Amino acid sequence: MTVLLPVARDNREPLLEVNELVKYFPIKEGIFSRTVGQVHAVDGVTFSIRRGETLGLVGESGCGKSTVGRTVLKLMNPTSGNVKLSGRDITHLSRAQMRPLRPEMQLIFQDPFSSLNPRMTAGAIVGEPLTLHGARSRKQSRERVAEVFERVGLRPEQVADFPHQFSGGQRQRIGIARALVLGPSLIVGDEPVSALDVSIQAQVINLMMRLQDEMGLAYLFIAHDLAVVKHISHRVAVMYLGRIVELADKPVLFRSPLHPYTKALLSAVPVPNPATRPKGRMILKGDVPSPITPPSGCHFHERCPSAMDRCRIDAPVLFEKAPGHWAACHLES
Amino acid sequence: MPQLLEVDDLHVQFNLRDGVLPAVDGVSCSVDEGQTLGIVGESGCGKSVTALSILRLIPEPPGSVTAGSIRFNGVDLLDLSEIEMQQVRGKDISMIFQEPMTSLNPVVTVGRQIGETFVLHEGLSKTDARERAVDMLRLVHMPEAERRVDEYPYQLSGGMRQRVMIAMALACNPKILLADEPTTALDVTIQAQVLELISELREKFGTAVILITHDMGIIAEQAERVIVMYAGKKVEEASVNELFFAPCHPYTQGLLASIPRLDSDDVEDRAALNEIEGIVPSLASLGPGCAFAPRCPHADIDCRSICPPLEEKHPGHWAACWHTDRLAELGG
Repeated sequence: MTVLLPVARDNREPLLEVNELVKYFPIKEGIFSRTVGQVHAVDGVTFSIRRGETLGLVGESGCGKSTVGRTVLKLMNPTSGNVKLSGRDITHLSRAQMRPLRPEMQLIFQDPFSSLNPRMTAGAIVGEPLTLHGARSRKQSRERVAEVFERVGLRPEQVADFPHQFSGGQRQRIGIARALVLGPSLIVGDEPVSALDVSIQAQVINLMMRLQDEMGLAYLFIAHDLAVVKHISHRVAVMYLGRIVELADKPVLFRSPLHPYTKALLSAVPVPNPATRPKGRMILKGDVPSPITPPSGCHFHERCPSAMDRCRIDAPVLFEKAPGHWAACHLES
Repeated sequence: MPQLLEVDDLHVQFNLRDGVLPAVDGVSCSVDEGQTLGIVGESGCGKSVTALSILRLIPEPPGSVTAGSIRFNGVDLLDLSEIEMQQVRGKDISMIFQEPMTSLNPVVTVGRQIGETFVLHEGLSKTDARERAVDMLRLVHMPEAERRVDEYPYQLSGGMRQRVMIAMALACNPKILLADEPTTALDVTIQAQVLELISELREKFGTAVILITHDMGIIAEQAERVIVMYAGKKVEEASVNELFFAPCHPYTQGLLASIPRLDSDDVEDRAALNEIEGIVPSLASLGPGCAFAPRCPHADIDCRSICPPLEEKHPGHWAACWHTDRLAELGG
């Protein structure tokens, strides 16, 4: 049986294609490090991202969203499945073969405090990828660093400052500058604004959106904050326990979610408007189950208010309910 | 009529090698039975220090409460001895901390941690205390309370640990619950469970809640009155409706405008969010004027030289800004 995959519907060629991606981590025990079990971090994830597009990837802690980000960047190798960048399969490339492709795809980290080397100046941090990836002269590299500094809203004289001299928001700008310096086409942002104060968060979100417009960047924007994802994304994928349960264009996903988990997630977010205090909020029972022994069938069935017998046995596949709107739920198939 | 808890003109400072940090600078607030007071602000604005001062948990030195009073049922907590204060903590006023991972003792079962309060304040035996701990765990809807009571914190999930914290805080049926970012470390679906639990308990027992958070959504849902803090000062206080629909202070206005909204209809629109320019100021280098002036779009020379007093702009709505009238004309 061929399963249709949730890929881009228009003619533009996808920049990134992720197909049936699986990543298990072995659990080792005892002196011989015997494998006694596996953490099913990512359990068959398929999506694509076009050039210049933001795909938001949301889910709660432990759902595997960060692992997806890291596997896509080949910072870890998938257990199975494949990843294509601009049509080229990069799943089985060696480190050396990956090297020339690294400038194409970069990562922005969550924590602007621990992701910058405290002993390096901001200029050296941002310039390091240039040294590693090209035979540029010092002068060229200085010019390039100055250029990205300006783009992300840092002052040129700040190249000589050390990370501790910057505020959290400015450090995140350094992290963004470092990701931009090689001129990537894809940036994976792993919770890039969740460590920032609200007023600073808005600055960084605006910066990322402006850079996207100016440079045609594609983002895989990984976050747990639905309001932020709603603001920044073009399309949104919702993950639960290693699987994508719903994927749609942003307006569709937020106006008419199909999957019960998406609905519960949306209803759980407190809305900053005292006039709409929720009545009859959908409150999920219990916790996210362990990814070591995920539930049978649909991973969500234990907490799902509309679970049927079939959900306990049979894992639903992503199904295209309406053009571009995919959901993995037996209620919808 | 005096309220259950009245904090008046509280000043807390930290004496550090590089100088004196005015962490809390003249903050007043009050809360009555069954009410929820929200305190919002960004990191370093003094909201947690305010809560810790109420329980006299500020480490001295380097910290010290230099002025003000904290009256609970008419008694100034600042006048109590440490031994008398211990009778208040956990019994009359208790606290839920942000980090359920680090605020529980990892080598003691959760039952004994909850039961400790009963042993200390009610003189129960260990066996009775364990029984009461099971009751408390049931009260906070802990699944399989009977089994969980003998487990250690590492065996519980984040949401369950936060339930244990709440069970501990509520063990002696306190009059006041201080909740400092009680759900920040939790996932949204678990956050919804915990917030529902707190409001359920408030309704059941008439507990007064002081809810400290940076999340405007939580404030909108939970609080009746709200205090907005900036750089150690209270810059605005109002009922939750007034604050959200007619904010007076430019900082509050900026804060509300800079949150991405899940409830807006313009989902297609990826318009830029409103930004508050600049960065949160360092408490060590505050000028003489309004602390928000360097980031404020309406600031003028007055704002930079003289700090505006907190004034009652409308009945029950206080703000510390020189330009409230002008802002109102601008329709802000």
